[in-house]
Amino acid sequence: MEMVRKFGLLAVSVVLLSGCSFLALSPFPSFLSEAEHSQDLSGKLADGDGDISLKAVRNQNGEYLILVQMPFSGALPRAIIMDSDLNVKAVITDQLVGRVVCVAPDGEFIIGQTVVRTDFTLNITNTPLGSYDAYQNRAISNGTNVYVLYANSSDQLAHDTSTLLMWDPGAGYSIPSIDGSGSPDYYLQTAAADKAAGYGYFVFELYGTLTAVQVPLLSVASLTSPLIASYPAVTVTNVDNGRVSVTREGVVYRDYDDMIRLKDFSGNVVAEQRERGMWNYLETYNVEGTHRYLFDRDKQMVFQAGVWW
Amino acid sequence: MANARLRPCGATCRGTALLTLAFALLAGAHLMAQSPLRVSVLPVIELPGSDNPADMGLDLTNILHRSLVGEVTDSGYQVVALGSSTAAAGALREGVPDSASAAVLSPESLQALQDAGADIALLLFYRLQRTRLTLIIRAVDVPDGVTFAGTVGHALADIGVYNSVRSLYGQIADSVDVRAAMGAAGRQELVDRVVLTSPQTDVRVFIGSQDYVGTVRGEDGIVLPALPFRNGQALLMKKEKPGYYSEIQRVELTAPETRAELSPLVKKTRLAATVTWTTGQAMGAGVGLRYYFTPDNFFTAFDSYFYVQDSFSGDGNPIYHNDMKLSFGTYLLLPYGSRFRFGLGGGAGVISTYFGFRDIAAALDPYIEVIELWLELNYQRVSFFLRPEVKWATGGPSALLPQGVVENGFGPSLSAGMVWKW
Repeated sequence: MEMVRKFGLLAVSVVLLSGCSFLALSPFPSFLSEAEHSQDLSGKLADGDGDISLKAVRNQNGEYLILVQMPFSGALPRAIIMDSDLNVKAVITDQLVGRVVCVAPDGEFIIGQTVVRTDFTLNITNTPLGSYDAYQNRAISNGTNVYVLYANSSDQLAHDTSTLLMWDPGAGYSIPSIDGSGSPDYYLQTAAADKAAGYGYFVFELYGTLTAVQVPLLSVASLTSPLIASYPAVTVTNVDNGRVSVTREGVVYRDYDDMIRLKDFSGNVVAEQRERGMWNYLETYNVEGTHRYLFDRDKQMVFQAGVWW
Repeated sequence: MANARLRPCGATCRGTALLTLAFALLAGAHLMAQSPLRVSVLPVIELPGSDNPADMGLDLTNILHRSLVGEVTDSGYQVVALGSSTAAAGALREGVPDSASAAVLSPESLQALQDAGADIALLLFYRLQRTRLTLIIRAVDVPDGVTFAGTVGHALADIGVYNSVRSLYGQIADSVDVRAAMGAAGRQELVDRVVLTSPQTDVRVFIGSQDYVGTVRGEDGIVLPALPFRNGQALLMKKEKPGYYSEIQRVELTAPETRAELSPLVKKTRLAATVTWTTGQAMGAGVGLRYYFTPDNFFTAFDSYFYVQDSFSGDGNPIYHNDMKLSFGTYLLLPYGSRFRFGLGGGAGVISTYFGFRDIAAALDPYIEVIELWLELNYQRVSFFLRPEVKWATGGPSALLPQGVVENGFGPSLSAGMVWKW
């Protein structure tokens, strides 16, 4: 019994010394303990893989997650609209479905060149966005206008005016430079509108370095140049390819060592943790920084989870 | 029971023939130089449950007595006339119920024998059942009052009984010779009585590795056959018990009456229970059951490990996993009694995950345990182990783990645990 007692004390000591981080280790992804809802999308997605993107948006009825699939198989693109509890509200299958997603001033969902009404019926006739390179463009709305933005070859945050935009023809948009250097290689990684806080957030990438900028949402049409020097901005490096989101709390990014970090717009790392086994997941955060959504590409399962910080 | 104690004497005598012969040779000259040993052959005693030999027309007690007297005389010993020792025999008979081994000469009987000048008393018991005759001879050292030899045999109740008595006496004759040769001073060097006890019951005991001595059935232990053991001699005793590992134990004879406790035998493990704790599954524990196909070696095990996962973040809530596994394992190289042992195994299992009341269905993650290796600190009924293990998640319709090696932040899992064996 003496031996048993000593063995027990040793085990307890190891646990106490190691603290919560040791206790939190698991073969399973850590987000599962924050997960609140899940949805199996395997019957709703096109067969085979494809380019898939997630975006959390909000209109007057609440928060929605829009998953867009551009199948490699040549099947029609499709978008799945889910509420924040991941109940599927609509599955839109149409050639005009695209990756550029935002909520229009009237609350309708702009998904590529389609518009989905707030009752989740397709309003295809509006064709709000043109057939531009959807990889380059990001759309945000400040509640009055819709801006389809991209980083052009002259270090500028350009506004696409080449297409018919029913909410705003694009007139009056001044084109700010991004950092004033004239670098032609910026890429607009993501953009998000936070109407409640009154900010818009842009994340630019240049040679692997990402810079998140926080701008006043109402003045998107007249931003000051250069953006990075004129507004609160934070730089992050060593980011796993494209695995970045921007929220009211700051920029959330994942590095190649499975570390996930939240860095606020003052440049402070607010929180970080190691999260293994996530290479298979796409993820995005809502702009308020209260939820994240994760999509398991293998299982075609989507999860809604609380945040980890 | 009585037979079991006495029967082996013949075999034991064979096993120790050389030893006895050495005593006899050493004592030979001494014997010749002294007056003959005086032996009293007590009246033959009929054991309870015996048929009446008169029904067969046999004067069995007389035949047996004359046979034994003849053997003693032929051995060159002087037979003491019964005379007053008849009273001793009477006293003895009163004390002999149904077991020859229980017969003890009373102090009065011994005194009577001493008065008659006897050095050794021979007691002959018989039980007749139909034509089958069971014979028991015991030899008692009169001055010391101890039984120093005994034997048992069977014969047909016919004219051949003379030969049976001769054969039976021949089995203890060496002991009688040695006893005679040692004299009073030499007897001090002999161990008169060896009692072996054991904390376990039903332990079969052998001298050396072959000669069966008896079975320990209780705290009283067993008395070794009266052999000329010397004080200071060591005996190698083999112990056996069904379901236990046999062992050979050295017993030191340190006194004329030596009482030694046999160390307990180690049980062969057929079943064992385990408790396990695994890295990456820290908030939980596992229990398991093993069945050994070959004791303490090759086994199958069923394990169930329940643990809670919590990220301890602001929005984190516990979720629950239960890992159930069927595996096979075997120990390598080192035997069951080694302080350290190691082994390897493998198996398959499934981890079920429950999210409580949240809007997420339970998940099942099947896996193959490719290999597990363990190092064990081994004690008789308990052992402690450290066990790295490599699991391969196979994936599945509701699996949460990606297909591949299951990792938990420390690489492959490392388990520590305890095994209770029975």
